[in-house]
Amino acid sequence: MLAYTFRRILWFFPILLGVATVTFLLLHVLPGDPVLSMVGERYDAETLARLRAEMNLDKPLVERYGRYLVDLATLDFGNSYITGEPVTKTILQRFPNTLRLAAAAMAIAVVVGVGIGVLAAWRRGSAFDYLLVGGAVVGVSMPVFWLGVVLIYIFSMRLGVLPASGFGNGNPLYLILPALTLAMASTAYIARITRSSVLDEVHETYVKAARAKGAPESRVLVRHALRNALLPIITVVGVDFGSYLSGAVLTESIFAWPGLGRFTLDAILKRDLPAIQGAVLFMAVLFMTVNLLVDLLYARVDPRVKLARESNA
Amino acid sequence: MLELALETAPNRLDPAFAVDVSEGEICALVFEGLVGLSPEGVLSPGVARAWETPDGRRFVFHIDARARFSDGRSVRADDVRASFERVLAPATASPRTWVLERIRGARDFRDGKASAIAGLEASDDSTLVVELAEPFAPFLSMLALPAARVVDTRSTPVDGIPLGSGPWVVSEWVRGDHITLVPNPHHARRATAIDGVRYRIIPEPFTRIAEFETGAIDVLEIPDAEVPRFLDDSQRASRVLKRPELRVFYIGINNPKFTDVRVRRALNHAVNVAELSRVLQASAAIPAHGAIPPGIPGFKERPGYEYDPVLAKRLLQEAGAENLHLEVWLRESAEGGRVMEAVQGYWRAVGVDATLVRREWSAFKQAVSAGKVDAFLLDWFADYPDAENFLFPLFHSSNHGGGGNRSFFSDPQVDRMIEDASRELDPARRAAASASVDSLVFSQAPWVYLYFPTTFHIVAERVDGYRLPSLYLGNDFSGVRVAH
Repeated sequence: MLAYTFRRILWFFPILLGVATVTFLLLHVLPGDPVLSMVGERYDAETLARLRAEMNLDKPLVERYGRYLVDLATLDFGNSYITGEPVTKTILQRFPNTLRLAAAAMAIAVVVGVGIGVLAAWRRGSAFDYLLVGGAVVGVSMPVFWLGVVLIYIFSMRLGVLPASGFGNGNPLYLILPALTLAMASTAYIARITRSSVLDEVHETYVKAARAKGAPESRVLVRHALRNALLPIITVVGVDFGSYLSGAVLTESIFAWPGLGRFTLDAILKRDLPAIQGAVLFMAVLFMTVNLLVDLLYARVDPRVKLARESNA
Repeated sequence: MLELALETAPNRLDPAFAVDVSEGEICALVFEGLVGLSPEGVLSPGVARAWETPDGRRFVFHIDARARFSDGRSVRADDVRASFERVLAPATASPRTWVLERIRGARDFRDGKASAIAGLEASDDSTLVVELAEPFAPFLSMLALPAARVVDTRSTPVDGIPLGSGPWVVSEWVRGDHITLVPNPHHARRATAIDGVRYRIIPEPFTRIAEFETGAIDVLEIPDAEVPRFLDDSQRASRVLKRPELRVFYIGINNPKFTDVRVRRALNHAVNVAELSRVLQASAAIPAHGAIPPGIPGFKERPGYEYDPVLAKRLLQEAGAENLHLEVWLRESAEGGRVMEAVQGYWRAVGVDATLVRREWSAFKQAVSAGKVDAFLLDWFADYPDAENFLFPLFHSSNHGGGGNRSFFSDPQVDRMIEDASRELDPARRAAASASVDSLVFSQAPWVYLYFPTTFHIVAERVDGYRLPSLYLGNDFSGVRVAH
């Protein structure tokens, strides 16, 4: 497993080079100009030229790309054009906030989603099952923005029990509404996947054997069927968690949450090239790391899964 | 603690780099200029307690002996000189050098051709002499801008914030979340009853409303669509503050593309601006019959382009432009969309087919400033309360594109009149001269003139004495009281 992990990590580098190159070129062809975001609404051609020269934007594309790669090789994302702050510092300041929100949302999604999914499978065909399946469809289709607004309206404005927005210097109460909003779609999706995966397993011989031994239904479902139904659930969790870690732009905007998503969106709108490049590469590393962990987890959960090449080794 | 909300997060709290409203608002509280602005937009003493100018070219400023940086050090004339040099120095790469470029020798210094600014001299600790390249009456107003504010150039900025001498000091800046200001203990004229001001960054209008309703913020700028709800609420209507903004909304027409003035006038006559004002701003917006807003000397009531679709059609016919098609660019915003969709309908009624092109700010600004579009919806608000702030950037031919004249309007007579007006030192004559320029430009219809908006704010019950400033630089919390 160590050799496999090492090989996978080695693969990070060519992938990152690809991501860096595509981001660099995309930003080059995109309309808009970072210098225009720095100058306000009144400026002259000389100011633009001076700022361009200052940021090396007047250099040929190939030269800028070369410099960019050299900086990347030394892990230097540069300073934001707009704030003047080192991009790495800002990302590291924002990431813990994003991680907090992502982890809370994922915890809710996994606990509630798997719970509902197993219950629905257990009561298959009952009114409860139909209710849960219907609820899951609604949950998956519910727009995040709308849900956020409704939650703020109910819990902050009407009931006055939870703060409407902000980070609250880390007070957990501030985390509840954004985490619920972000978790909704994943919860519903995980519930559906869990239900169908568990139902796939309940017809397997080993489940029948467990029942024949007289094990109670709850034990059969949780200890036997669910355990074997985990693979697709882990996949969904991995993909969703990876995307949450990249920042949840809408949720962060509604709840004024100072995370990575809003930072990246601001950077894109202002064409803050170093910030965009830094954020995109950081997200790529996160995604690849989560994917790697998911793959490693597969092998752990299901011994039948052989990690690539490991079986040949 | 007074709790306020900002829609956008300031990027920098350094006067040399402050370009947007949120940055300007906070910089104006933390950094003092030679002069400042009251909430009413009136020039007030700042670091300078008095000044005189015999000819509008040479200014002598007397520095207030009580002015102190927030570490207690006295502000001297040389600190002002050093602050101006800092903004203009090539190494700073400030985007706001234009604010100080009227000073003699400033451009040479900016371009690295001179080691000092010829027209700037601290003759002693309390006297600063500023000499301009030529007389320029709005100069004093421009000195209230963030780029002309004083910073302590001898100390290193902490967290990107230089030391200032304003009434407030940044005590905490959590980027993307909030900024807390506390009173500068050394500010001599401080008379504040509150122990701090917290600006929270809340991008979404709905969330800001919710935060106000739950008492988490004290002052809410009411979104247009919500104004009637607050005004109709008898319990709260008395706490709604209303102020006409020093701001004009317009549709810029690409003048070099649409050279026939009859076409441009027709586009004006086709739009029912009074109706737009009624629907969009509960009739609080004032139809614009010029670019200078009410409240700025130079504003003048004049007859507008009356809503007259028949006349509009006839003018288009006479100009041979019956089947006119144009692309109108606008920024992605709900407000802009509502305005332009209405205008699109009015124009359709007179046979003008307009396609709306929505772009985000950066792409919009790039195309519009390059003169690549037929027309665009935009607004312009005062940075300093002077007619020159509207006429020179918006209509002088030296400002085509990025300078502000994005309709690429050109008229040598208008150029001359703007220059003459900015040299005129007598306020009454200057106001009259500015009004004449505005009239002349208006008659040539380089824009479709829309309206001067009004802003509505509601203040929480626990807050007393809050004054709504006419400009973002004009906040003064000295009379504010917050009940606990």
